[in-house]
Amino acid sequence: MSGFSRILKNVPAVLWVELLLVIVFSFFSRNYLTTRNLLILLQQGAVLLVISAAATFVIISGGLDLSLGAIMTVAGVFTALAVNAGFPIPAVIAVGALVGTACGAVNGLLISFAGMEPFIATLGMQGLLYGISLAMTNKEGIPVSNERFVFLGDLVNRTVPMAAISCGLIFLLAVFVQNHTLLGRYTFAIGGNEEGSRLSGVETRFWKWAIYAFAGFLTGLGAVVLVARLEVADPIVGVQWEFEAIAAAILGGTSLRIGRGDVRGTIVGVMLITIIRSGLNVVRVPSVWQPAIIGTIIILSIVFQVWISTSGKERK
Amino acid sequence: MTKTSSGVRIRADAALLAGLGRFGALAILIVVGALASDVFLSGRNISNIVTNASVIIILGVGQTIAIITNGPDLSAGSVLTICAVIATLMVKQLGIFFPIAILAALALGMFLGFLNGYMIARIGIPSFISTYGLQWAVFGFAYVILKGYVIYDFDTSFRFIGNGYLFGTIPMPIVVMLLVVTGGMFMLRRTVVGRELYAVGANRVAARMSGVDTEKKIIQAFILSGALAALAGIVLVARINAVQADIGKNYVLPVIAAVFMGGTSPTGGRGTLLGTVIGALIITVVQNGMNLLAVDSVWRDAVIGVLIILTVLIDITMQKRLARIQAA
Amino acid sequence: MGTPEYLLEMRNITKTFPGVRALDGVSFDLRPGEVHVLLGENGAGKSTLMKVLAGAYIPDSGELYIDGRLVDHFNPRHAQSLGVGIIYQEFNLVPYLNVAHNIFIDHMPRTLGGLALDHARMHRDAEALLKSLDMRVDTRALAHDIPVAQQQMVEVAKALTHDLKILIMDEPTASLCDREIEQLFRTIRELTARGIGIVYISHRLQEIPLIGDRITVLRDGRYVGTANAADLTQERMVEMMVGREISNLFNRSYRPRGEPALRVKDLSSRGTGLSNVNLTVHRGEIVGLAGLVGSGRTELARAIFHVDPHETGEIELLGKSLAKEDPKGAIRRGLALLPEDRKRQGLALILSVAENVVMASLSRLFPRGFLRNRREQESVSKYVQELRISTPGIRQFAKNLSGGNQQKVVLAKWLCTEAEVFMFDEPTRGIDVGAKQEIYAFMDDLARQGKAVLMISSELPEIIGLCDRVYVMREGSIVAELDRTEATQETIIAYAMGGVCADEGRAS
Repeated sequence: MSGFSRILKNVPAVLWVELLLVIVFSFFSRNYLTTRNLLILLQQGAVLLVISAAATFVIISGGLDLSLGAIMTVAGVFTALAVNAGFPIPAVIAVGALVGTACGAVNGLLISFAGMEPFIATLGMQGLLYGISLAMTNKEGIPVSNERFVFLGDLVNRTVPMAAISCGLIFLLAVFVQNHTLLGRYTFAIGGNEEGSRLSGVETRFWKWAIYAFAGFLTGLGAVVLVARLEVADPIVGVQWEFEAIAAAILGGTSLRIGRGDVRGTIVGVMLITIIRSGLNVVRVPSVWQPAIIGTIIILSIVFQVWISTSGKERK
Repeated sequence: MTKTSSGVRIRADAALLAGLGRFGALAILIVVGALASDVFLSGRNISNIVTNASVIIILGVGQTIAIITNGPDLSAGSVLTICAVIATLMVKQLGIFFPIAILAALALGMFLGFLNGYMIARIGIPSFISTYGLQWAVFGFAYVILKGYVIYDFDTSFRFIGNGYLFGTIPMPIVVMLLVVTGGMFMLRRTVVGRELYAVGANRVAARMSGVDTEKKIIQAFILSGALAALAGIVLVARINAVQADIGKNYVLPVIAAVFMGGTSPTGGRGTLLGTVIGALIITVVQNGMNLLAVDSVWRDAVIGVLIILTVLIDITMQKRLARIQAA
Repeated sequence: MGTPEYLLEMRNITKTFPGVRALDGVSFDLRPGEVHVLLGENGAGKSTLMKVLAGAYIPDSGELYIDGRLVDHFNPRHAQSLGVGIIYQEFNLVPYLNVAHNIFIDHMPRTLGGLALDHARMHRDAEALLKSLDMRVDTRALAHDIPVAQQQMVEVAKALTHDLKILIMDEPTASLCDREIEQLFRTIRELTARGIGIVYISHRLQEIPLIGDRITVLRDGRYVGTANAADLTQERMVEMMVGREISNLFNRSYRPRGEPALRVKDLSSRGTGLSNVNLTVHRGEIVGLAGLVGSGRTELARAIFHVDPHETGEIELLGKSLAKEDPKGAIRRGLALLPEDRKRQGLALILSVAENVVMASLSRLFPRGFLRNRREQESVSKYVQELRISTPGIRQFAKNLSGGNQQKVVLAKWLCTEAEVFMFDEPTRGIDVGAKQEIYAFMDDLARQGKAVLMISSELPEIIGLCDRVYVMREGSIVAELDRTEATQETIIAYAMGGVCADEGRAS
């Protein structure tokens, strides 16, 4: 097979759907395929890409993290507090990353060392973390106005999408970790054959813990960009994000339970969600309808994706 | 042989111990509550606690059955919401005779449960992903229907199921709850279907190779969970006399907590409704205590989250101990 | 101190699991450059002993010396650092990592101050390593995508990346064909020439003289004896393994067969590779289904039982066609399948003995859908007594029973359905000799009652000692039907191997 046709064949079905959607939406609105709108799209999808990368790692390793949205929220609150306390920018970023890592590390402890089911541990953490963020903010958003910090997520001069650039860098880091570090390789090892890897001398417990901690780290960085873009740390901003992140990973071709996937594929999943969200505005769907429609489309596309990837193979 | 049988005795004792532990935890909480607050042990507060627990227990029965068979039904809170919305809308806005509205809500709950079951059993999406996903769509539709408004002030005949009293003494939510629990216990313990649900949860492959229609059982379990979520929703809105689009959001964590506190195994095949009832009472007493002590509502979910984690941790530790004792 | 002339000395190793004494004072040793065969039936303790050596299990008592030094703690990494490598029967490869990454799984070379992996070096080293062993494997292929024989080579290479002194190979030839076995033996000789000691676990008796230097036999977790490979005849090996004359173990009462009970005509299934299978099992006979692992025996049984679908072919049960149904339908019509993997497919370990026994007969015992305690108790107790299942009570959890008793529970489950045709897939895997003998007696009993029995087994003595007729499978087809008088180890193996390589297998 020639290189090109091979690439064509490996294009996930989702990408064709996205192409179709973009064409449809651009018929509805002349403004859809403009540079400006595309830049806004990039800005809007950027943070979800980072959270989805985190979810992808966890899912490849055979796990699940329902607390990613909550981690992002709490890390965002701490970030805002750090900004308003006058921390220098690098320190602010470190605060966000650290808080995220710490939350992820607790997940990892509960799951890897204590042996809890991932959905229980992370669901419990979700409750705890939202409680913390609500208590810390007194249920109100914390505005940030430091210009140098806000720059990290700004659409500078209406041309330079800083949120997309920041998140792009974080994403490149995630890709690097996946392909070029032990953590990345052991994510596949644990998802594909945990017991076998343990018997081959891999410290699977430690690495499983590290995967959740790393997912928390990425999410913490994502939180920093989100707060910079929105210029506020909202105490419940992360609700439902973990689900969109899990969906993006699955739509991007990451399989459940067999240790196969690629964080790069997650891009197409994030694109789908972002395109649909923007498209609903373009075709003037009233905003009350949007959560229902987006939720329905996402769940249907997961069903479709899982159905495609398991049909043809024998099902047990 | 003697070795094995002594192992059995240890196991039986441990099961007993775990059961006693749950009762003990409940008892301690009650004592603490009584010491901390004068009104805690008043007849009104107790009746209040049990009535509040009823909604959690009704949901918990469905949740327990779902987890025993396959996995959690994280959509229960959203199903509760939309079914409550539909029922009240029919009664209030359209003036439909209330039993028909209730039946319609139950049918909707069963339909959503069927969707969950279908995604899990036939498509093969793990329940904690499929039901978690469905929840967002369903909450979205509840929001669409209500558009942010609150529907309130229903007809007394409809409200009877939530705030009436049977024979003028027993609050209706408790009556409904007792019926659901009794029915659920009977099904799980005394029928072939119940046996098959446990079998599917304990080992899906072995169950299928023993002639159990595993996919059908999983779908049935989630249909049941959906129907019970609908019922819980009706009881709830009839009691509080109002419905809004996020009414069910506060129920997901407490119900999961109640089920695991009751000793149901997260991996399926093991669990009892009696345990869930005790778990729900514990959760409600804790919530009630926080109310009486005027703990800020923001900490509610946090406390429940920590309770979930602690309970499961204790369970895991106890089981490890047990395994070690048996191995020795 | 151990003796320096030995690479390895294990003395009086004991290891117990709940309900089972897997190893009882077993000793074993290994010299540099030798192949020491560890022989024993399934459940004799071979794998447990090797898992102790590889650090996967911690022994209850006993001493382990490597290079004359006492080993005092047990984990896989430590064993590795002492030069112990192990290739498990179920490979430890990671399906979606490539060959080079798999080879260096636990010590991938790094650059950038340890931050990044050195992919180039990994591929270079992996290629060099494979080449030095005269193996050809693409280091960039995913482990998931290469044939079983190559996966095994990857495992060997993986072991060699450490300073290897001892290599344990657990049933390495189980799914290989002749040519691949020759290649494997060449590799083994290459390794012993380097002074590496090999522990070779197998129960393919005929290949042992070809590769082994010494043989140690285990039985029921106990040490039986050690001898030079040249000094032992196959008959003697079997005697040592089984502990008595084979004829005592298999007590068959052959009698004339009855009408056909199960008939399979032209069954094919692309998904599982079955092609044009024809077989018949009559009432009153035990029919063996022999063949290599992966030859399609289990797939055939599953297809007949309608666990997996099949495209073409006809299945006739007791004179009536068994159309496309599911296991439920097959059970209702009188078919039973005792699956090969007891813990995954046969039993629900966290349920009680009683719940397991009635699991397949719920609608027969309780046609109205309501359980009746008395009825359940009666039927369960009947089979518990009949099969002499030793359990403290019928409400005991299945997981607390020994392997043999667990298997009897599965057997009871199928007897309880009152089936007429029984398919047994590896019915004696991993259980002790006493339980084996009882299960053999039961199968004979079934045949005497006029039931039909089809038995899949990898234990040739079992096939030969028990069966009226034997079908041999290879690559999804039946290649021979042998009468009791024709069925010898040699003929069965000859048909089963056929000299052709089946490169279809893949890692899980």
